[in-house]
Amino acid sequence: MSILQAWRQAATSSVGPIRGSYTAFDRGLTTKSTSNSPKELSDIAAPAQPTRDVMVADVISGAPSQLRHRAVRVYQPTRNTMQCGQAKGDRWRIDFDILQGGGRWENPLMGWASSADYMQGTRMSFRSKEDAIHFAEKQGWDYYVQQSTVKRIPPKNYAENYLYRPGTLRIMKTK
Amino acid sequence: MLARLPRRLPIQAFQARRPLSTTLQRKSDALFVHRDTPYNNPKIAFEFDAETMKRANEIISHYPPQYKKAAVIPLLDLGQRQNKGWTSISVMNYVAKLLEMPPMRVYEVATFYTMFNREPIGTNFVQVCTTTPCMLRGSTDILNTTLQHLGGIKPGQTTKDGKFTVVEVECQGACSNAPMIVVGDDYYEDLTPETTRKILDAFAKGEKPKPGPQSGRFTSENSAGLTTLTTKPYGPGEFCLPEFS
Amino acid sequence: MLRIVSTVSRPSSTGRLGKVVGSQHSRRTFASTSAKQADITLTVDGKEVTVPQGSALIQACEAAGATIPRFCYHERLAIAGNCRMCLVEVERSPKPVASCAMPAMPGSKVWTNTPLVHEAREGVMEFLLANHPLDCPVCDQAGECDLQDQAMRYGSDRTRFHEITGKRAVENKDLGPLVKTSMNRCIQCTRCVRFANEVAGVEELGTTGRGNDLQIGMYVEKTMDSELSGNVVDLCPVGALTSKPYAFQARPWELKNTESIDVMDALGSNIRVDSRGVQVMRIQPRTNDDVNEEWISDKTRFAYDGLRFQRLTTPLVKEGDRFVSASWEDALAAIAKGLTASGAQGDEIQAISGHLADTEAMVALKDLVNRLGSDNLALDQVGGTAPPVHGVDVRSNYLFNSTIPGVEEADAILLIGTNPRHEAAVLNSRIRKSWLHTGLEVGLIGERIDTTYGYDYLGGDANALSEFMTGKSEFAKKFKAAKKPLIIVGSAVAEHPDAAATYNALSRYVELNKSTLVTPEWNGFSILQRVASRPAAYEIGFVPSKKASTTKPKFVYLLNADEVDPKSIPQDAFVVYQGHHGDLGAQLADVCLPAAAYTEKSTTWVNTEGRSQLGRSAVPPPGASREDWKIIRALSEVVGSPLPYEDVLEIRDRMWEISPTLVRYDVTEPTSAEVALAGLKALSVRTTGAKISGAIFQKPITNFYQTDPISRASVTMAQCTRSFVKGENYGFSDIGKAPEAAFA
Repeated sequence: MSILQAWRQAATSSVGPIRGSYTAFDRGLTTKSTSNSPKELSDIAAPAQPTRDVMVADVISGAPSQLRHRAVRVYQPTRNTMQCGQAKGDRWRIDFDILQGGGRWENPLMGWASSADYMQGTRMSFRSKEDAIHFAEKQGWDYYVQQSTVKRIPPKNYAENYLYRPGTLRIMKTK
Repeated sequence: MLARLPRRLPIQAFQARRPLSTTLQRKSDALFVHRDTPYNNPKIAFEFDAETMKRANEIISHYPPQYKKAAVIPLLDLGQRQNKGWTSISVMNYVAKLLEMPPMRVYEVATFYTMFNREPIGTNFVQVCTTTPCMLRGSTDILNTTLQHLGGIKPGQTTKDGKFTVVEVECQGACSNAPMIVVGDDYYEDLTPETTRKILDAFAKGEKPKPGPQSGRFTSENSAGLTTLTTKPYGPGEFCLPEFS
Repeated sequence: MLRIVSTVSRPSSTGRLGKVVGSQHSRRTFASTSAKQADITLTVDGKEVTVPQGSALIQACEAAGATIPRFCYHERLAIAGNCRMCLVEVERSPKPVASCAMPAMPGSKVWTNTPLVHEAREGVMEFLLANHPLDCPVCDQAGECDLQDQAMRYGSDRTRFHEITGKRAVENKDLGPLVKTSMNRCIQCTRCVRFANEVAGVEELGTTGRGNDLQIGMYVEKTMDSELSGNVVDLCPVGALTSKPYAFQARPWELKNTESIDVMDALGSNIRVDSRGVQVMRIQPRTNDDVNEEWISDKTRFAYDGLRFQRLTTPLVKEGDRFVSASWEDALAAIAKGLTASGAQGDEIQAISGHLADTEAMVALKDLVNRLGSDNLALDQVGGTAPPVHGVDVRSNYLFNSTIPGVEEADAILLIGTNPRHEAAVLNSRIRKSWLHTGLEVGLIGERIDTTYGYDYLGGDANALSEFMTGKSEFAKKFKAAKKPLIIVGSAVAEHPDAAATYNALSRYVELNKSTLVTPEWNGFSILQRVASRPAAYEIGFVPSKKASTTKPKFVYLLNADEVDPKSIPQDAFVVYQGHHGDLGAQLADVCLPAAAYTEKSTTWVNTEGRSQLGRSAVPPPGASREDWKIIRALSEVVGSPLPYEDVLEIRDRMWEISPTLVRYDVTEPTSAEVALAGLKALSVRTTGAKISGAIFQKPITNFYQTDPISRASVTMAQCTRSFVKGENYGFSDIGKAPEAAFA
């Protein structure tokens, strides 16, 4: 049984929350467009996407058959917390789970890292989750989707620093 | 306009040249980081005496109880006055405790304001103004005179006998009486090298010369005598303040 | 991917804290809508954008998709407005406006990309670079440096700064063994100061001096004693604060990022494991507002070097009094032989699961032990061989029911026998946030602790709880009047002699006050687990039956169990240890099986809220070590009762059979109020008549930095222990004092 099937089995047994979370990241994806005001963010489940016909390419792609036994993760990499830039932050990525045991090793003398796994360094970026899923399906890869998280930042206000507060002060603000 | 300037300026302004940087090379860490020393460490006890405490309480009472921290500058000043003119780490810690602030918030204030001396100073704290108006009126001479008269120290240093500390300061707001120095809390204005020496000598002897313009003029009146308002003002009479009536 | 939440009450009254009804948050929300705030509409770069009233202009610009450069503004800190990099042009404003400090006004027209804006930002950048050293080649931040990034766009390629005396030089500060400082690079954005003061509660960090001489520091010599201090490394937009253990180790572009889950505490913080080759080079937080926001604790961040030391790499079999390495076949055969030789039957076969055991492995081990006819499944804790007092039948009896974001909704919190600062450092920062910005009141029963917020001390033992329940004390009255009260019970309470009495009292109290404590929207009875594996262990029922707990074991299987009391293991028992570190458990074993650590296996972790999250392997396990569940699966074959799953998907199917929540990732499933109350009722019935011994609720963690085999093997954590716990010189403080040239 593929991961997808397992995942779907789990999903169908509990349509509510999973479906809900699906819609959550669908929404997360579209919040950037201005027409989509935050008001639209409700918990109403979006209709499921119609199933698409996917032509599976792995039979003729010439890819090694071992690839079909490995799962890929479809996810949206989170922004680096070290930087504030947002470029490329809405991309979805596919990469492979690493192989256990013997897949990678280090040269004991020089410390170079080597690998017997030709897919461990491969990662692909897609504009949307659907594109990524489509690609994985087309390649016949087992995949699982990690939902993306949405930042929840309350409105912020500079004047907040200078508000009068009755009662004991709990912090002496600085800077 | 420029052509007329030299006639109006005292000739000394052009004789005394200042090098690019006369101030001591300051290493910023020496200024803004505390290092424990025998004379300045948190173990030295400090407390307001009764009279200062009374004033401190009075100041604190001006602010809402949770905003006691607003009193930090006046209290640091009180502490500095009580602590021989400088704000030691103990003074800061004490003020922090008194105002229930984290000590760092007090350190921030004390390091921000240059009038809090965080190193011990001499009995007489001489601040020589060298901002543009004073400089045009010859403050460079005044500074050099002061330094030489006190035994060739450099700005920021204290004399060996511990009687004087000289620092250069920015504008003290007495430009109409430039050049000027501040000794302790008092302004000595309209200085010449001679009057400066006289003032310093007096302080060295423990006397206190009369503050204000040393040229004999009254406040910042025209030194060449009044040109306007020389006659008794007319009317309106009895409702004016006494000096105008 | 920023979204401004519109369901937030105005910050002026409640502080920055958003009362956010999370969309991902699976709690049903239809009855708890907060009052709608007016939204305002303005135009940014010709695009209309609607944001909630009270937002900063920079938020509106971001919502419109404009990228605003910034240094001092950070979404999770107060606004300072001192870097001036976020200047934008606003219609009818004579000058460019700092968009972070400017409220978004309805109808205003904003441009973020005009020549005026560019010139203004270039001016700001020039000033910033005037005193910034040109040491990108030797700077650890290079490659992920905001200043570098923004200088690419707004920086000039040559300087107009020709001062004879050179650039400003600032002495480096010594903040401890974790944060390396290079203060010349500081651009004085004060993010670290705000973080330390607001989030971490370290009020010793500040700025001294002014103008060009402004410095970040503590003024007096001090280290930054906080268990969240590592986050300033992330916050620093330049290389002034960098990670000391990671210094000069790697460049960000060499690293492979793997998004995973942390196991150092039971919060399940989302992390990103950065690895190079087979080595974990560093650990970074991942933003997840439902769990860890943007922070992780120092243990999470810096204990990774423990993954390199003291690892078990080959199976070991004890011969005489020494271990001899063996092949997997031999080791498994030795276990099978030992099992037979020990003569263990039924409940005499005991399995103990430790702190870092993953869910898959525990499921496999439980299945195996059950198949061998035993019910003796113990936990690696004090009294872990007995069934837990709270039972495992109802989830809400052992989970953090209010959920982690829910902590911010509470208006009164009672902590019982717990020190959240050490047991869940990131959660503690949430409590502090709430305490700072709302009128949150906190009470504590248990050993006195140093939290980062004020609390009412109610007493140290179970008697104090009874007194609290009488409702006479001031705090008890406030707690009763609270709309969303929250009781946080530490996991150590269940290990306490008075556990039964305490849980009895608590369940009765909750029952009495169910109108506020347990409602369809709010469950204010929360247990704070401190060990990553524990919620999953309870979830799958990894607890002994009553009968089994009294049986003396003859065969003991230690799964990552390193806290076990050596005396509790019978001398003649055959002991197997499976784990990744040669810690205490391995010393007791007859056979050691090397397993994978959390960065080396893709497994499920259940956090204290009951949220299952999928970790991911970043590096391969060293030597011959293998994934935990595979070892147990292999062993089951050898001992003759093979487990019916062969790959990780099948074992997850099995997990789904046990509890579907184990495979519903990233969501919390609330227990309904009725079930929660029924669970508490059963609990109170079960524990009636329990006596109070009056022993103090001790805090379970005395040394935050060393709580598990990984952190005990970590050099960095040992330095932290010396520096912060024992207050000694940790051995590297000279670094800060030596001139930088010595390292460059």
